[in-house]
Amino acid sequence: MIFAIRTTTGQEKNVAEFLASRAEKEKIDIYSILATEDLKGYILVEAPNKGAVEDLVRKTFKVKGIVPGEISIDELEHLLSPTKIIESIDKG
Amino acid sequence: MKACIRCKYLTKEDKCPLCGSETSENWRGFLIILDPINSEIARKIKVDCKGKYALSVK
Ligand SMILES: [Zn+2]
Repeated sequence: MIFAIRTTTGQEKNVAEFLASRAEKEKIDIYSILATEDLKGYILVEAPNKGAVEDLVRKTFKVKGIVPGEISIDELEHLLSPTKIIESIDKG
Repeated sequence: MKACIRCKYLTKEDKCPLCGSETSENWRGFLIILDPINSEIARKIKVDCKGKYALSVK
């Protein structure tokens, strides 16, 4: 399951690193964390369930909240393969 | 950090420690894979090693 969390714009990569080390240290089951320039103010967190994401962001001022609802992997297609967008624009 | 032009792995080195290709400072998107076995995103971008990756590298 993929969830979006809100953070300070410009701090996305730093907060992603912070959360990744926290997940490892506290042994929270997190699969991946994604920060992209195309999603300002948000980080995407992949985990087996929402509870793991809640554990991850608990008691940190760096995260402003979890966006309600799940994100499907298909919705991320354009973020994960940015070159495809450029190719399709070139063709059009 | 620099990104491998082939596998997009992020490293401080001039040669990628995973595949030996050159690295570039011109990259976008920051992905941390903690559990490559269970991560759907890792499968999607064909990453099977834990670590930090760029989404695109020039
Ligand atoms: Zn490489």
